[in-house]
Amino acid sequence: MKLLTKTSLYYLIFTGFIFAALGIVFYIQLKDIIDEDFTENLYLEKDVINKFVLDSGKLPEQQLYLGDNVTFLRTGHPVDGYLKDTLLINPLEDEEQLFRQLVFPLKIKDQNYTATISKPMFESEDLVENIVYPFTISAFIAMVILFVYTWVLQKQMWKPFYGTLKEFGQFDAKQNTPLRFATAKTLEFRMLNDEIEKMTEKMASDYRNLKEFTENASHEMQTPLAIIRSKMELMIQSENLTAGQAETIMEMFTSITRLSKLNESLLLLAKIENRQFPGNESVKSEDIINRKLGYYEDMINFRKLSVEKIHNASPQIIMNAYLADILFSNLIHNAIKHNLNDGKIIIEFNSDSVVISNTGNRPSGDPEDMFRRFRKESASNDSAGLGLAISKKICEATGFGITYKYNENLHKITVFFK
Amino acid sequence: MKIFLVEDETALGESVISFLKTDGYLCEWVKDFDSAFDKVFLYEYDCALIDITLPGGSGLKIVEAIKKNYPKTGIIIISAKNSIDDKITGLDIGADDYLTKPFHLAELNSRIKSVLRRRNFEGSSEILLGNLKIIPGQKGVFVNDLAVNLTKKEFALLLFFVSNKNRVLTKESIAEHLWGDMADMADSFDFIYSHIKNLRKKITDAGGEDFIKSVYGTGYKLSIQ
Repeated sequence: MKLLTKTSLYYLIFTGFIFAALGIVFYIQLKDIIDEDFTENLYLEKDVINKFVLDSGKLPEQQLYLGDNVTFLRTGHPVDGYLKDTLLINPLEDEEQLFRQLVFPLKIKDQNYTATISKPMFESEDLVENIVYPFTISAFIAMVILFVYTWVLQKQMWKPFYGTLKEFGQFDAKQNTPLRFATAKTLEFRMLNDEIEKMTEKMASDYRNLKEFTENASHEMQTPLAIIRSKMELMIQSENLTAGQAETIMEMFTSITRLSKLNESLLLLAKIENRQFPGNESVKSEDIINRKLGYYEDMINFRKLSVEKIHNASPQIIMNAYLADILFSNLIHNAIKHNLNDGKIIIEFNSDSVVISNTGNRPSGDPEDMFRRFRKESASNDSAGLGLAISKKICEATGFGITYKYNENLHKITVFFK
Repeated sequence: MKIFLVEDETALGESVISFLKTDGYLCEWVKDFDSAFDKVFLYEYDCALIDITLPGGSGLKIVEAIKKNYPKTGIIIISAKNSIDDKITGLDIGADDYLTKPFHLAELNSRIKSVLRRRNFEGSSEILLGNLKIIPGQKGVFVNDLAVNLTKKEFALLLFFVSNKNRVLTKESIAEHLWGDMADMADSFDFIYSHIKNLRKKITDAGGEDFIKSVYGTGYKLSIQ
């Protein structure tokens, strides 16, 4: 839920509750006052009648208050006075209505009378309604106005925050440009912007340092390797090497080559892990695979491998083109390298995946370990075993899935595009 | 042919110079940015080998300076940075090739030859080895003026040998030259052996001389006087 919606909702619930509570209190209070006033009027009438009787010594002849019904009943004994609410037929409107009756004794020349004043209650109800309705309506209007006001105010006040949030969301350390915000007028937002500016600056510089370190590491390692290798190459050219010396040099030479390849692969892994390859190009897995098959054509022919392609779809995938090249190159390379002579490679193109299968010996160990670094198939194999680890890293970095299965003499690697 | 090398690593520079001198090149070697920058304004070279990370500045600036003064000079960047950005920038500002360290000297030599051929003769040059004639620009190979049909890889292999004649080529350098980064196929050395066997057979079958010899324990060599 949006902050604005949330605060507005709470505000609405709170003000509604307050207004309702105040309204109820006000209504009860008002009703009490009117009720009291009503009763007081009845007693006032009683006083007026008493005074009239005392002054004139006879019963009043006509009703003194319009709408009020005053009756006098001759009784033997003086009655006890009381006040009660009762339903009576209103002769004017011919329906039952609530009346308040004040009953009190009168005595004229030793004759006892019972006087009853009946006052219709609707007057007081009308009064309450007339006051409560306008109050409720104006309270409601006030609430709406306040709500709109705070809504607009909050929206305006949080604007710099949402601007910051949007820019921060779009921030990419790879772009190497720390965020710069326009000065916010609110202190808290200014502080937030300052902190974010500092943070993105740090992120960009850390990223830059890491990238530089990775590349420098490559530089620092490759140069001595280049020197060793060049010196060995010169030695090999020498005419008077003994067979033993030549063999020793070649073994060193091969190891140096492996070391340098290993270094390169590890750097590539580090770079992929650091997300140094933005993935936004649209590539066709089929095109890359066809190109790779062409590249390894003589190798495929040499090992007498048959290549079968199954087209169920020709998916277009969004990823870094360089990584796509490495990924499929590694997988095809793998399918050739770990194949049997006269074996086959089956490549299946689906709308959401590419499946590369090849014939080969049953792998030793857990298939889950296939993607681990430096897992070796056999001692004679001089590959460092980083190809599949790199493929997995590429898939992870791109948001793809990759699985390995061995069944019916086929190694099956599936890349899922998500 | 005059070759200009800019390389700050003394030991590596020595290897390169010593390798190239046996091919009869005149070599000039400087180790830092400033002296390299001075030289490229004074002299014209046929081919320049430029390291990117140099004391005093970036080799890319030297590439730009050479391009401006002597556009005909062939330029090969040799860098320890296997960075795609650098590669693209280097080729964009006019370098002919980009070689990542560590490289095989034979590979460097072959790249220099290729750059020189492209620069000087627009690919129409011929290479004569006894009765064998190679026209690199047309990817043509002839024995006694009769065309020999070679596959793409066999032709690349022959040219690699020719560029490094009378030198021992290791199986590693041949594999890397032909298959680049993916030279580590399980049977790649047998594979190279079969390629070389096929190449030799095709040439000898056409009546050509068998120049390619295997050198015990180390590799192969194209021997010619």
